[in-house]
Amino acid sequence: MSAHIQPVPFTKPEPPISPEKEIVESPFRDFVRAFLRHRSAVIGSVIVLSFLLIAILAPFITSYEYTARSQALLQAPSVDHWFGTDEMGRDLFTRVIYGTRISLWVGLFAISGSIIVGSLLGLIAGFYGGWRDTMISRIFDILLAFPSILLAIAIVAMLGRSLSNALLAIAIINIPTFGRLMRSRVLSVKSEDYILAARAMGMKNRRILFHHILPNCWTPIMVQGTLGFATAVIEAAALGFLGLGAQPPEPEWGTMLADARQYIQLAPWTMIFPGVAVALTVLGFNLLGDGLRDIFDPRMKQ
Amino acid sequence: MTQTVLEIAELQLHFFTDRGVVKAVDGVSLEVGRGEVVGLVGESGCGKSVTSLAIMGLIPQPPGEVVAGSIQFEGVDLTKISQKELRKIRGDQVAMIFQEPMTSLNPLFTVGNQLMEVVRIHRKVSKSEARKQALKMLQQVGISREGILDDYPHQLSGGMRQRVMIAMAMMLNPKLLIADEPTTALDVTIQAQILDLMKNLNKEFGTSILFITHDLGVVAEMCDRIVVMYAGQVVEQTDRFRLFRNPKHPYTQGLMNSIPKIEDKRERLYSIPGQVPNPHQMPKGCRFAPRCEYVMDICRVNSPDLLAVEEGHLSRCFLHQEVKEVAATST
Repeated sequence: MSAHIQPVPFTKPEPPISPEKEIVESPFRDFVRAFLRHRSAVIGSVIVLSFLLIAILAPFITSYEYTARSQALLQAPSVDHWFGTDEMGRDLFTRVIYGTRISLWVGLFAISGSIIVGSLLGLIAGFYGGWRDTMISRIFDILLAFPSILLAIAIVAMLGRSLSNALLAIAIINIPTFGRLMRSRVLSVKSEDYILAARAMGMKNRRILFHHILPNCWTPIMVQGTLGFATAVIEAAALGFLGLGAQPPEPEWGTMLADARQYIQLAPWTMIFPGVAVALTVLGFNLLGDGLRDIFDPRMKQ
Repeated sequence: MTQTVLEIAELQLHFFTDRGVVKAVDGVSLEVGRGEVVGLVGESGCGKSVTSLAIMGLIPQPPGEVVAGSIQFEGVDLTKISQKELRKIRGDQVAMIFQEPMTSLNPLFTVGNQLMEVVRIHRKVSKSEARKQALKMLQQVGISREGILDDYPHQLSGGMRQRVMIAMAMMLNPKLLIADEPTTALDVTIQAQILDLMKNLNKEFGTSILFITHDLGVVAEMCDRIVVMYAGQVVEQTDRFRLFRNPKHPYTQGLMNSIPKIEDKRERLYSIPGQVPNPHQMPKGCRFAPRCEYVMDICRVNSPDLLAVEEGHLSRCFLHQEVKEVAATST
């Protein structure tokens, strides 16, 4: 046999094997570096953080009250009123600034609610399977069968129009998104070897569920939560615009847009500024969410 | 081998699937004595892993179900007791290590965390005590590096992780360790180290080991006694010397012939012809008949029993039985 062996062409020598003890970064450091390298994540987080600051520091940014009326009706932007005034002579800049608070509150509470309820249901459905899974999944299907904004309108119509009911409605319509995501994640984590190993160590179901499965499911929920925040802000504005969310004189962006509709030709700034605020917030959260998704996606890692 | 730790008798484990009943384990009997290392050998899909999971009570149910037979562990039938009682035994008295060290540790927790968790599930000990025990056990498995307790699994190599897995399994000094192909995923050099380690632990702690593998080389190295499985049944069972010197069952002979020998002049490697039978359609008669070199008419009709060819050497084949009968009639 050896007679037939062809001479092997000379190839470049293999690089030396890397030493056994690798220097491994901590997962957190890794994350921070990847985050800072990702442009849209950085831009998104800058936008989100500035809105957060605006919301917190609102009383220090503007000297007006958001309900204070003046004689100057529908005035164009000026040094006194940076964004102009609305039909009741209220300072638009102040109202947009305070509107940030409302939008962020709604987003935060609605999405936290959806995440908590959705994750719990998804966790149960995915882990136990059987009739629990069937029941929970069908509930999700029913909720998803309606166009989400229509469902929100129906819920608010049933409960009465107010900001808190709008918040509740937004929370409910977003439950299935998180529930399904959690369920699918649990199904895949459940079949991991370390879960079998945990069972073989004699752990109880509940311990496996909350200590071993749940922590391994957070990443996609976090990404979806950030993206869902943007959706919630839009939905809150939509409900406000339809008169079902925040009621006047609350400075909610959607409500402000609805009030300003009649004056769109006379005083376009009354529409532009709240509209831009909504768009910017949504953009910020979407950029951040997309960035997080890229960073956490193992396929994107070099 | 005066006492048995584990005694499986006529275990029947079926999976009830949409396509019919799969008899994954069909009448398997085996024993593991105190301090003994028993090898369970067979091709993939022959039921060896299912048997090991059945001992742990980790067969998903449905679709799997123990239909008949018993698994006696220290005089307790593991197929009869409740999940709660089973949980107390798992990890404490019977521990298991798996094939894939890369995925058998939870990526989110440190090594120390996971080792301490095992202790604290089963024993009421303080965190610092558990930490001490974890460190001691890691030294036993040959990791003496300071700070290992605070390392995450991804910071360790495959061999290191398997050592950690073994440490985790040995934490509470179990009576029986089930090792499901623990070295298959490792480099050959690391394999040898892990096997040495397991042998030492067996000697030092007197832990019985049920070693599941398809690697006859590993079996020769490790095991006192060997059980060969084929298509859900035990086909041969004896000690390692007899198995390697004088394999009786044609399947075992085929396995032996598949190992390349250095003095061999053949250019092609031997392989057993045919394939493992489809578990949905087991052949009638002997399950190995379609692939057997020595197949006889009777093999295609009747299923042979597992009988003693000689003292301490069982084989499931008509070949020996006929030879014996012929011998018996001629004298």
